[in-house]
Amino acid sequence: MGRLVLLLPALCLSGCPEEALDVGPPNIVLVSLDTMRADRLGVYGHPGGLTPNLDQFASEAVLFESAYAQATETLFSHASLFTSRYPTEIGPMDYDFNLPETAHTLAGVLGTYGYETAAFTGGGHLHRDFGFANGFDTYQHDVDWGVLYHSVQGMAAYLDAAPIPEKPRFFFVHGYDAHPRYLKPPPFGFLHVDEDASDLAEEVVVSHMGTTRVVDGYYFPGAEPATLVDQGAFRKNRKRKSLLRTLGGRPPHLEHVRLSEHDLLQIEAAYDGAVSYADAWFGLMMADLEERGMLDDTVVVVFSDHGEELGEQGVYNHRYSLSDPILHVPLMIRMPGGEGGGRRIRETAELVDLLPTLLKIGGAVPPALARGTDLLGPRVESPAFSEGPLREISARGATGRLIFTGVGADSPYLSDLLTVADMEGPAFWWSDSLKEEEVSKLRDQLAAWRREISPPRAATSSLSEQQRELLREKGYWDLR
Amino acid sequence: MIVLLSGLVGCLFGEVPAVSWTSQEALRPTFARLDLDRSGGIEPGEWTRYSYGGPAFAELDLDGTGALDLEELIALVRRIDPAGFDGERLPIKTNVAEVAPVTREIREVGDALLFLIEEIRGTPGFLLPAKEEVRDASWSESMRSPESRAVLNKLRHAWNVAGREFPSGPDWGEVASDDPPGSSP
Repeated sequence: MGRLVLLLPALCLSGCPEEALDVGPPNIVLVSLDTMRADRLGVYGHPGGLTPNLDQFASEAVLFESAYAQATETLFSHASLFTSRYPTEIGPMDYDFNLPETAHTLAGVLGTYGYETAAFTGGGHLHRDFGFANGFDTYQHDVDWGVLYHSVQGMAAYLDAAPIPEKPRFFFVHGYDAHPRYLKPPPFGFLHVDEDASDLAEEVVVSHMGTTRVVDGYYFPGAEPATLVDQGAFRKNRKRKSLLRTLGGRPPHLEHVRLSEHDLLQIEAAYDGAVSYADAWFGLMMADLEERGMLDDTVVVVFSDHGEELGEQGVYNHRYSLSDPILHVPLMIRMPGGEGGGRRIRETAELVDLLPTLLKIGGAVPPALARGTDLLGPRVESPAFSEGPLREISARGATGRLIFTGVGADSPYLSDLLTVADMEGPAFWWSDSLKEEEVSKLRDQLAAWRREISPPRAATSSLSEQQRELLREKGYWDLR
Repeated sequence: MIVLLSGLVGCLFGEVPAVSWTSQEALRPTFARLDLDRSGGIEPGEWTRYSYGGPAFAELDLDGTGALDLEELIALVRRIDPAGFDGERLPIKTNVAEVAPVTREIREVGDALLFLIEEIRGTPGFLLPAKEEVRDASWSESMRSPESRAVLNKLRHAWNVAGREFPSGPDWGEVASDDPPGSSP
């Protein structure tokens, strides 16, 4: 029997059984579905039935309709949510980025308050070299770029070895399921791909780094992605025109072939297969927790650290720009037993809000420097702020997004340039849905946000050359 | 109110809201999608379309009925390690040029100078600093260096021609405004 039986303690005055009053802090399972776009979930509006388990989960959870990540990449986004600090406040956004040992992390604080803490991650940008083991009693990252297949079974093995908890537990479960390469094992790899998909579309989907070799509808089969589009191209492409035009046309020395509209849809369908794969393993994880009797005394939180561009700006990736496909993420909180399930919160939420929310659930006090606010408390509409490693910052309000491009949030010159930049010039982009006064307001809010955060000047790196090489293999080239 | 009452009733009777998570339910929707003819099993013809990179059908049909049932699908999902499932791998071309390390200061100076250029690019009547000048200024790691002063000076002139007030940065405003256009630092 779980420790938390009582759902509404205030109503259970004197008539409750004695054991029901034995209310300790609940277990917390925090699930990170890497690279999962919010709009792929049925509960966020997708009509294709890609995520039956997550949709079922939503009926038992509080869902945040407008949740936004603080960064476009796994490394920066997780560091931000684990500390409730914006990425730039932790360190410059390059691959020397590191979660300092002195940082007050979610796991570290929960550990101080008596939690047993364990992480089951897909490694990669969550490798312990980046400092993410900070605060965890156990930290698994055995498979680089691992998926829920690995981390869910890692958690199960951990629970098999220690089935009787001595303390409340905090588990972090993470998988790169929807991350490129999208292709996943059968039947998911081609679950949503048309039977008449072309050989070319199949090649893009199947080949290593295939989707990152697609730019503006052209496939460059032998090219190193870094030579096709780099940060410079996106920085010059502030008006969101053709990337290849920005680059001066198709690189003539590289072999390339035009993909049809149908081919491009099939690439998207491969991503959808990866989404369904993540969903299936999420369902298996929930079944495992149910079988162990844990769901009645466990808070389960599901989110994504960032989404993915699926050709909206000519590429299939998530590092380039602060757009909604990349930053709008699913976020759901299921209380023990599914209490209060089905509620939907419309107000803007940020991933930095997770730390104060979960610490409150765990009976802990958030660090004084935490930026977020309790997601389950009263919400006041305010923009979500995000940063990209390619020198972009943005504010996302209820009706649209404003992006400022060209200088990173850590630059000492940002405030001056933000003030002087021409609204009609190349530095600003905003959603068509925004009215003029809303754009001005978001600009002011962005400037105020930048004044509030204080980037540290010192940066440390403990990244090994081997880890650096693994990142390059996965398509992450130097940001500088 | 209904939630409160149901919670109270649940408390009084030691119950929690009924939820049901099983591995069968987790994979049932996927099974239904694969069972195209709704026969209750996934026949070889149905499986072929989705089998890319996976084991032969006979290996999956554990009970030899000629069709996969839900339990066999669950076993398959649990069996195939995505880390070992790799399909065709194309060789990686590691042709990213080796470059000298770039410091944070180089990036910050370079970003700011490029920003000031991009803001007024396209305005006729003046010459923008050459790429090499901007590079040298960036590599000086300071807005106060002679290289940066030269670039800032040109930019200040260009901004004036464009009818824009040149921004006074935290460590360049007075430097740039002191030097007449075109003068050497």
